[in-house]
Amino acid sequence: MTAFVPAVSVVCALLLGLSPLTARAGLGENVAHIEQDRVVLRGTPVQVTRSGAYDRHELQTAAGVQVREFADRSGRIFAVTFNGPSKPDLKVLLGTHYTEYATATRPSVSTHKVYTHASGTLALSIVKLPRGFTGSAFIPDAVPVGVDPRQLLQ
Amino acid sequence: MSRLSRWFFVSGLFALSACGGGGGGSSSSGGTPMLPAVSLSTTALNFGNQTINTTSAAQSVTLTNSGSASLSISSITLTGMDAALYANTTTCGTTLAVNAHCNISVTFTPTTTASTNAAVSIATDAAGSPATVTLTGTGSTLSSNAFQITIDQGPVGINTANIAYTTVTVCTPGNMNQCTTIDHIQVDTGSYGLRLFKSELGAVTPTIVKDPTSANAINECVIYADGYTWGSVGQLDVSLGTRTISGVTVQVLGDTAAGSPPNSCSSGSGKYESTVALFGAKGILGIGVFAEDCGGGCAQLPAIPQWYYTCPSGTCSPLAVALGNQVKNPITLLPPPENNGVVIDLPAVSGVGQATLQGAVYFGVQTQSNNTPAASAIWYLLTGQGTLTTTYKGVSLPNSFIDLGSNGLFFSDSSITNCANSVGFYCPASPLSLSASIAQTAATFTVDNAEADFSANPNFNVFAYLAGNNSSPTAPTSAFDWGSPFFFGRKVYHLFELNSLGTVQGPAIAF
Repeated sequence: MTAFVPAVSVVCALLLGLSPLTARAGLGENVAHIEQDRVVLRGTPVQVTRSGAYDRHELQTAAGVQVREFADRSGRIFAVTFNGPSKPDLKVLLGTHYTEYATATRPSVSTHKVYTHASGTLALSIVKLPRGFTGSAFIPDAVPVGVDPRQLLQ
Repeated sequence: MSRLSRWFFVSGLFALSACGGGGGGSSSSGGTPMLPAVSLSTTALNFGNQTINTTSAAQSVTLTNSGSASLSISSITLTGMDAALYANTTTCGTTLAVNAHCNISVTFTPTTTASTNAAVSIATDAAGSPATVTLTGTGSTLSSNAFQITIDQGPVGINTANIAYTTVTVCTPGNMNQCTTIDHIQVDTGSYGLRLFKSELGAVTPTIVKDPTSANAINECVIYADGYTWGSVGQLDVSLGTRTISGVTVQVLGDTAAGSPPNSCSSGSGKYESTVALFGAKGILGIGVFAEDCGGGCAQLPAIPQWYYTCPSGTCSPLAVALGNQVKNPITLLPPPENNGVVIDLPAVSGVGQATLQGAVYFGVQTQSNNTPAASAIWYLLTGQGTLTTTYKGVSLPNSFIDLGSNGLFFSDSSITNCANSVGFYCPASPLSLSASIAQTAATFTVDNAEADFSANPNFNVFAYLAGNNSSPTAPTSAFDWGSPFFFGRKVYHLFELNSLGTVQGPAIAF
C-alpha cells in the first residue's frame, strides 16, 4: 500500500529526541529526517510503501532521479537506490558514509561506466547507463534478516 | 602507421629562416640586411586514412614572406618516394612581396594500403631553402562512408584493454589552415558528442558557445560512474574518415578558461579526470543513439546541476541550454541519409585475445549495402535511457544496455569468483560458458580468468572473454552491461532517436 506522508514536523522530531532540525537522513540515519533530504534534493513529496521488514520511502529529485531510501522497523535507513538521468547528490544519500566513498582508492585509469565499493560498512554500486545512472548503496550488516537486497530493486 | 602521428603545430607562423645568414641581400640605409624569409603555417600535413583510389579533401599551407625583401620562388615541387600519390596546386607565383602570402593546396590519392611519405619542397632565395612540408597518409580499404577504429594500448604510457580508439581531425571553424589530427580518441556508444583535451588542440581554436541570454560562455560538467570531467563548450570543424562536419559543438576538457569545476559538479562525483592520463584517452567520441549528451532535461527550467553552467566572475550556476547549443553527436549533423545512425563493425577475435583489433564505424543505417542489416535481423527498441531488458539466470535486468565504451561484459553473479588484484573483473578457476537473453534473443558468452589472461598475454590489448562484476556484494544493480566483447565478430546497428526505418522507431539497436 502506498501512502502520502507529509513533512516530518519539528514537534515530531523533537519528541523523538533526535538530532537538530538540520540533521539529514541518508544511509545509516533515521528515516525521521528524510524530509531534510527531500528539501536538499528539491524532491517531490515522499511516498512510503510498507513491506514486512522495511518501509520504502520514495521521492523524485528536481533532476528527475527516482530515489528510494529503505528503513528497517527501527527507522534506520539500511539501503538507498537511485535511477534517473543524473547521479543524485551522494553526500545526501550516503549520509555519514559519504566520507568512506569519497576517500576510497580509485582505479588509476577510469572505467567511466562502473564503480563499485565494498567494505564491512558500505557496499556501493554505480552504473552509468547510456543516458543516466542506476545504483544502490547498502550497509551490509544492517539489512533485515530475510530481506534479499535484489528484491529491493524491483 | 599514420594514426599515431600528429601534425606539428606552433602558435602563429613557424619561421624557417630568420634574418641574417648568407650574403647577397641588399642592406637598408641603417645597415640591417634586407632579406626575404619564408614562414609556413605548418610544416606537416597528415591525411590520415584515405580509401584507396579516392582523392582526399585538399589541405593547405600558407606561405608568408616574413622577411624585409621580396621573395623569389624558383619552384614548388613534390618530392619523396610516394610523391606521385600527392597532387598540389598553388596560388604562389615566382615572387612574393614582403608580408604577402600565398597558399599551397595538397590532395592525397593512395593506390595501395601502405603508409606513404612525401614532401612539398619550396625552393626560394631565402636562407634555409628549400623549405619543406612533410606529407603523410595511409591508403585504406575502408569504404568512403566509414572511419577506422582500433583497439590497442591507448595513448603513450597508458595500457588499456578492449577500448576502441579512432583518429579525428579538427579545425578552427572555417579555417582549414588551422587543423590538427588527434589519435587515441575513445569511441563510445554509451555517450553522445565529442570531447577533447585542450592540451591536444595546439593552435586550433574552438569558437566559444555562449548563453544567448547572458552572453556568458557555456561550460560543462560530465559525470561518469567513477569520476567526472569539466571544460568549456565550443565549436570545431570535425573530420571523421572522409567526412567533414562543420560547426560541431564539443566539450573542451581541461580548458583553464572554464575555471574550476563547481561544487555541484565535483561533490560526490569521484575523481576529477582533468588530464589524458587520468581519463585514459585524448578525448572521447560519443556516437550512440541520442543526438545530444543531455537532451531535453537540460533544456528546461529550472536548470539541473551536473551538466551545463555559466560562470560569470568565477561563480558557476547551472544553465538551461537549448538542444541546438548542447554538445552534439557529430554523426547526427551529417547530410541525410547518413545522419540516421551508425554501424559498429569489429571482426571476430580468435581465442583469448590478440594485440590489436581493427574495425570500422559506418555512417548511416540502411543507406547502402555495407550498413544494411540482414532482412532477418531483429530490431530492439531502446528506452529513453538507452536500455533494453536482459534476463540472466532467470532474473530480469531492465537497466541493461549494449555499450562499446565498456571494456568487458559487466553483470552481477555471486557464484563467479572476483579477481583479487584486477578489481572489478571476474577470475573463475576455469572458463565459464554462459548465456543471457537480450529481450527474447539468447546470447552466449565466455567468462575467463581476467588476471590469468592479462598476465599470460602482456602484449595483448584485446581480450575476448573479459567480464566483471558491476555490483558490490549486497549492493546489486539491475543492469547487464554488454561491453566491447559483445561487438567482436558482429555488426551492431544503431538507429538514432527521431529516425525510423519502416515501422522501427529509434532509438533502436540490431545485431
